[in-house]
This record gives sequence, structure tokens and C-alpha cells, in this order.
Amino acid sequence: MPGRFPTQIEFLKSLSIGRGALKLPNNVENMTLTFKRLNSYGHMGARKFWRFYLPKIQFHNPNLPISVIRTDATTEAEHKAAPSTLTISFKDRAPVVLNVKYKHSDGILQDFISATRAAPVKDTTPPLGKPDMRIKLNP
Amino acid sequence: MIIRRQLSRAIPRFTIAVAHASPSSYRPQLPTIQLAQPRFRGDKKKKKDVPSSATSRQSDIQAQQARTKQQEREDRRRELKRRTDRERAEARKTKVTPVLMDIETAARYLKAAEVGRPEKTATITITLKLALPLHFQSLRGTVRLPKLPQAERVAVFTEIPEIAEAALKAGATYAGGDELVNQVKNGEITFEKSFATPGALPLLRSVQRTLGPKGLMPSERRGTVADDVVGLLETSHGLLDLRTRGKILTAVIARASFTPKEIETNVSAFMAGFRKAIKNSTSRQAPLVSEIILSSTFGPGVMVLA
Repeated sequence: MPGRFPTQIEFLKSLSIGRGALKLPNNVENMTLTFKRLNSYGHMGARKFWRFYLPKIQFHNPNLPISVIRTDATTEAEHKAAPSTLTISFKDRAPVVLNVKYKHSDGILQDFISATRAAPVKDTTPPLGKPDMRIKLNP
Repeated sequence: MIIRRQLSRAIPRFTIAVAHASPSSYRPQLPTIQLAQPRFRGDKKKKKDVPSSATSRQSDIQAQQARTKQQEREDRRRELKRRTDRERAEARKTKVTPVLMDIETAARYLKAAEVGRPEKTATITITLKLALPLHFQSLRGTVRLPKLPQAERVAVFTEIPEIAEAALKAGATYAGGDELVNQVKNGEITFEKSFATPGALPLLRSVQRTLGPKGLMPSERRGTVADDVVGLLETSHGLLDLRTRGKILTAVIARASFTPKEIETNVSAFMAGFRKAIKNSTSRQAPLVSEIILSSTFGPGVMVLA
């Protein structure tokens, strides 16, 4: 395989397959993850959840609006008091607010699955097109 | 020759020429002796008139250099032609690629890569790599995208206050005369498109150097100067300019917050505009597409079929 493609395939796989590849039910309207810019006082799990799992959730639910809000804190008291939450809005019921402070990213994923009843995606092959696909761009 | 050489050795200041008498002549054959031209100090003009061996050598060198330059130019031209032909032949061939996807899948990947990024920065860009014909100038055209990737700020320069008011009503962000030019001069406002009435063109001369390089200077040639500037604004608002830079045509066509379907419609509108621009171009040979790449600010650049 020439040049850029092996690296690119690895990257595309990291965006689409593995833990976090979940298909959400239709009643999930949007989700918002809030955490602090600095990791201190239990905000690292939320950041890792964003890096590892949110791309996969977005890939399998492309029409779901996902927003990430990163807050700033200056004083020690502010750092301690800053909330770290995952808010999931539903079309048919009240929004669920998960407190993700001092939680590992895997734990946050478990909480998310149980709150939304998301189903893992069975097909684990990334849709990259057929291997060695032939194209003609200029007929 | 031998005699001449010996004589010149013996008497270096003289040159001897033997006058050959014609057979019909009855005059006796006598060697004539010519005195060498006396030289004077500082008599440079005379020296120039007579081509000496040094000047002739110099002109030889100059001629040689000119020949070499011409040869180099010829070589460069031939190399360019060879490269262009190779690229175009390559573009016509069927490509074999391990990663190729339809636009909707590519949009899903790019959206996944941009998740949680600020909406302003997360943009999706299309890039066409082209195989251009030899001496191709540039491809120009316009496209109207179904959904604009960003709110477009438009400035209308006019010296007539009534037109300025009408332009603001028609959707212009800024409209005005002297004050607006001053604001541009001070760098207080930025915009993506500009129009002007013919009367306002003298005012714009002072900001020509600021607007010109950005392609924002209104000009009649581009069709951005007219008396009916409001009508112009209504017809051209929301148009995306297509312009090749080198062998590449690139444009921001969507935001990561768009749905895959919206991204797909924008891409197909862009490709339709590109094909229309090729049709309208005056070039004898059309540019060929060697790759279509969809990429985003933080995401990968994926080859797509469009």
C-alpha cells in the first residue's frame, strides 16, 4: 500500500470502530459535555471521554448535535467548585444530567450507555470503500 | 607565410604585404612595405573602431552565453511539456486506491474528527487537484451553494447616502463613502465581498493596496462596480468564487455542524459550478481532475467520489 494510506486508515479506524461505537435510540435530541480546561480536581475523565469516545458516537449518529464546553477557572476555590457534567436531552422526557467529576472515561461511557440505552454497533469493518478500488475521474 | 613571419620577427613594428601583380601587368613585382599605424596615448576611440582580438573574443563569449540561455529555455519548455503530458495521461488513467468513499461517509468521518471543536474553526474544505494543459492561465467561475458555510459580510462603497441606505436594507453589512474608506484604512472592519458605484471609485484609490491583494477591490472588469449596486448585491450575494491557484482549486464549502446530507448537496453544487466554469473557459483544452479531496480543520483529507 503506498505512502499516506496506512496512517490514514489507522486514523479513520480510531474515529469509527472500537469501544464507543454506539448507535443511539431516536429519542436522544442532543448532548453537552462540560468540563474545565485544566485536568485538576476530577476533570480528566471528561476530557478523555471527549477524545476517545465522542468521535465514535458522532460517527455512528451523524445527525446528533454534540457540543463540548470547556470552562476556565482562576482561583483554587473556583477550580474545586467547577462542575463536570454530561447532559443528555431527550425528545420525549426530561434531560439527564450525569455528574462525571472524578470519574474515569470508561466509567462515564458505562453511565452514558445505561442512561441512553445505546446499542453497540455490530459491524466493525470501517467503510473505507472496497479495497484497492478503481476509479476514473475523467471519463 | 614563412617569409612574413621571419620578417615580422626581425622588424616587429612593420607589416609586410606582398602585392601580387596580375599577369597582364608589366610592372615589376616588388614587395611593398607598409608602416604600422602610429599609436597615441589615450586614443581610445580609434582603438574601438578597429576590432581587436580581445573585443572579438568578448563578443564570441556573449554569443555563446546567449546560445546557452536559449538552449536552457528550450530545455525548460520541453521538460514542462513532458511533465504536463505525463500528469494529464496519469489523470486519464483508472486509479487504484485503498481509501475512497462517497461524500456522505467522508462527511461522517470529518464530523467525527471535529466533534467538540469550536464551530467557528471547524470547517470542511474541498480540494481539487488538477492536471492542467500547458500554459493554462486560471479557471474562474462562481457557485451558489445551497447552504452558506459562513455569514458573508458585504461592504458597499457609495458616495450617495440613499443608495447606502438601500444597500443596507438589501443585506449589506457596511455601506457608506468616506467614513467607510477611513474605517478600512484603519483596519477597523473586515468583509468578504465588496461592491461600489462608479462615483466612489476615486475614494477607493487610497485603500487600493489594502483591498487589492485580498481580491476585494471593486472593479468594472469583475462586474462589482455598477450604478445599480443594490441589484448587483441581490444577484451576487451568497456566491462562492472559484479560482484555481496553481494546479489546485480549493474552497470552504461547509461547517462541521452541517448534517452529512447538507454537506453532500453543497459538494454536488460545487462540482456542478466547477464543470460549468470549465465549459465557459476559453482554453482549448480543459483541465482534468486528478484527485478530489474532502478535508477538515483537524480531520484527515479523504479522497472522495463526486
